[in-house]
Amino acid sequence: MLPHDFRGLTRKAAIAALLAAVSVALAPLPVGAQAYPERNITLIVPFAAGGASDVSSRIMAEAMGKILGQSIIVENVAGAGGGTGGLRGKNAKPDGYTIGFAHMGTHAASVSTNPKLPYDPTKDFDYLGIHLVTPHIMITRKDFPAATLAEYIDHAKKSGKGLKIAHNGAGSLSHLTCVVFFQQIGVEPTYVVYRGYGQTINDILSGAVDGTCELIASTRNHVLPGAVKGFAVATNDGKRTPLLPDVPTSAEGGLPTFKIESWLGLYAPKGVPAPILAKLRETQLKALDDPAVQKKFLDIGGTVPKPEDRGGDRMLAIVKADVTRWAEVVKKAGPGASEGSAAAKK
Amino acid sequence: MGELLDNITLGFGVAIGLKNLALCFLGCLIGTLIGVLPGVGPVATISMLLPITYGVDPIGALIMLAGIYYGAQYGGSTTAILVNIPGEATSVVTALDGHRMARQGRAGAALGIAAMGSFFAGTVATLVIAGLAVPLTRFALLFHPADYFALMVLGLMLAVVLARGSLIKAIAMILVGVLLSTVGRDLVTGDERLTFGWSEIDDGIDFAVVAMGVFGFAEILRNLETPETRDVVRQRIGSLLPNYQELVQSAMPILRGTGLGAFLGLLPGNGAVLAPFASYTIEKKLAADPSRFGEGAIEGVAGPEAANNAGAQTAFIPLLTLGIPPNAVMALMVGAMTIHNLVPGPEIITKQPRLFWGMIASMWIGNLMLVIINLPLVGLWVRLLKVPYRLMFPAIVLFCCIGIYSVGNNPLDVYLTAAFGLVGYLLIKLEFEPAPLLLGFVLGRLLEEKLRQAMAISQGNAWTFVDHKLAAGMLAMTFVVLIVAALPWARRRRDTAFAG
Repeated sequence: MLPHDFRGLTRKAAIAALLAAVSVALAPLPVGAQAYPERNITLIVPFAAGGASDVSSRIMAEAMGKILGQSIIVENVAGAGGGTGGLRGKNAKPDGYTIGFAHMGTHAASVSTNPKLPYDPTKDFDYLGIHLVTPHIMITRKDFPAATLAEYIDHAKKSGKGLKIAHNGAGSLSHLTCVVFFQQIGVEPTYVVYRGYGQTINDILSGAVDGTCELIASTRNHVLPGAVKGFAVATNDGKRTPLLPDVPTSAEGGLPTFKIESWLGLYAPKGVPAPILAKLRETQLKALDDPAVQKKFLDIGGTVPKPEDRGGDRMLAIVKADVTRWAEVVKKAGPGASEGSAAAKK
Repeated sequence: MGELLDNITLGFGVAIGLKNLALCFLGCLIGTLIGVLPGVGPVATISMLLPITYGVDPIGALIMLAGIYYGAQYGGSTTAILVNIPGEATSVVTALDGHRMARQGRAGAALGIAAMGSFFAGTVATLVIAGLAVPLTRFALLFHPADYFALMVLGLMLAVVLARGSLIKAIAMILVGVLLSTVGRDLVTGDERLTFGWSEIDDGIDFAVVAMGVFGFAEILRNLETPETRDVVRQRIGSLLPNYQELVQSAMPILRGTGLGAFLGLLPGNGAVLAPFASYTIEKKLAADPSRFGEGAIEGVAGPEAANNAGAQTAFIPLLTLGIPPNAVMALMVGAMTIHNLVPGPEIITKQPRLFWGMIASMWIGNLMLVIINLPLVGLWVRLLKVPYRLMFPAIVLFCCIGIYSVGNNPLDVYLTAAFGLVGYLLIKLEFEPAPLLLGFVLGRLLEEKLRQAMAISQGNAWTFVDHKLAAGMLAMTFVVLIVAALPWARRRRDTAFAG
């Protein structure tokens, strides 16, 4: 009961302070937000440390913490493909001292791929905004017999089940990207399933499998030096990405419908007092303008979103659109969507 | 050769700077401490310390993180030997004979030989990385999923040799271990398996949970049965260092273990976990009197410890040259490198020679530091064994719980460990060995994944395991080992039948 009472108290105090501030019309910012933050803020990352999600969160935590004058501490709560950490974030006290990390997998596709998802991404969160986007890409082994996307599609159609495509596990973004791409070109390859990109890339480099579907954030380090071939960068606007300026987009390659960009962003649990939420959103926007942050994102294979895609309201709209989009993809693929080894059984 | 010398000189020039030396020492010290605390593994520590390295230059940061990593490998053996709790998969084997030695009052010798074996292996592995990093990466790529599957089968066969008692019981334990490894979401279909609706174990059971339960907690329960009658307290602690005869006994096992570990560490997907198990098996097979194993044979500590450390170090090769992290700690190192704008991969040696060679030089310096840190501590650790049970056991249980919670920030893990403790106690009572169970658990997941990958690639054709020569060879070897292992057992059973 105690925490609940406290929450009521601070909210009441905040409202009172807000009213006072408005009536006197002196303070440039509401008083409730001026005092905030008085102590460290926790940022829940629903994945183990080290991956792109974690690294991008730490970059944001550092930049936002500097602006707020308090440390933002990253807490990694891994499990259930992000579900465990997301639940912790949803249930956290909405006082602005706990925020969380979300991406297209945990807060959009998961609605369709995880029937036990313990939260509703469209209702349970106050989003702060997207901080990083990274387009998806098709990559193949170095000696794959195709140089352009058209040749890739030709070869795929000829090979059919003979085409061996790796992905990182049922329901992973890598898997869903494969499903979209091969739905669109009308081919059913043989899927070979690995636990994570680290294992996948090993067998692509060795030539045991033909290729995979991935985020640029993961593959860039292998595409740039030419260790693997890159096809069809799936940008939304069809323009090349500064991350891989030499690789043609899907639109250039003749498959303009293949558009997938992963987004990574931050949220607060639903119900954070308005002045505090406003301050968090403002801080997030300011951090995106920091050239050091932009440079660091570029190095991990992503870019800050375009100005029109920034902010919490825009993030909520994108979450809603993507929940619908992935539901359609998964429905169209049918129950067989997640049966990677079905090919081998038939 | 001249080029190699130039490179090594460059590396030492970088590593021997005062700041980098200090960071290396700090890393090794933190690593040793967290290694000694049961359950607080390098993964948790490195992820906690990652932000601290923001302020340091990339070379210094990586030197420190690497220090934590191999420091933890050292420290983990200390806990395995003293209190029979392997914090890492790789120190399971050390617990077998190491803890037995400690109970015989030879803890000093066991800790000493572990430190020396590791130092020797670390030195050799550093040279291997320096000289052969680039050609060796191609070797890792030769391994097809089919070959990998065969290697895992061979690895599981080794578990039979680990067991002291009945062959049937050992095989049963391996199978239970493999079964436990299948708990969680199926990678291919996404279906839940054996989770009984508990979403907390959707991702499977953590190694630390099983290891601490069946080894650590079970050992404590067993000790509580009898009033405090520890041999260590009554006997002289004995020399803190191994004597001449023990050194002679350990020399060859350390050499063989080093070679084995250096080789297996290169494999992707954490092949290094096999190294200590394989080394133990080989030493037991080669020994004049195999029955000493499991009863405090120093070779059973020396070989696996060397193998463990060599493997831990050569695991850097796929990371530094291909950009492929072979295990969770290495995946964190990739994270650390990207934070510092470094791209792990084929270009790192040519583009970042100061970083690459500096790190290699610091590995050797780090190994030397670990000996310097650890040898004086041996006396302290051994004295810790004299702490009365009523103080020591609650402390161990407390540290275990903290450690397990820190792995996944998940309270259920702590309850599960307690449950595995009871299971482990039951197994001791029924004379089942926990070591084969853990090996089955560690290798089970890879076994399944590689089998399914190989079968998917061959489109359901099982001949793929014969077509791949490496796989065929290893499967044949498994078969031979099985027959050899079964023969004396069959004979023994006949003997008992006749006697009865």
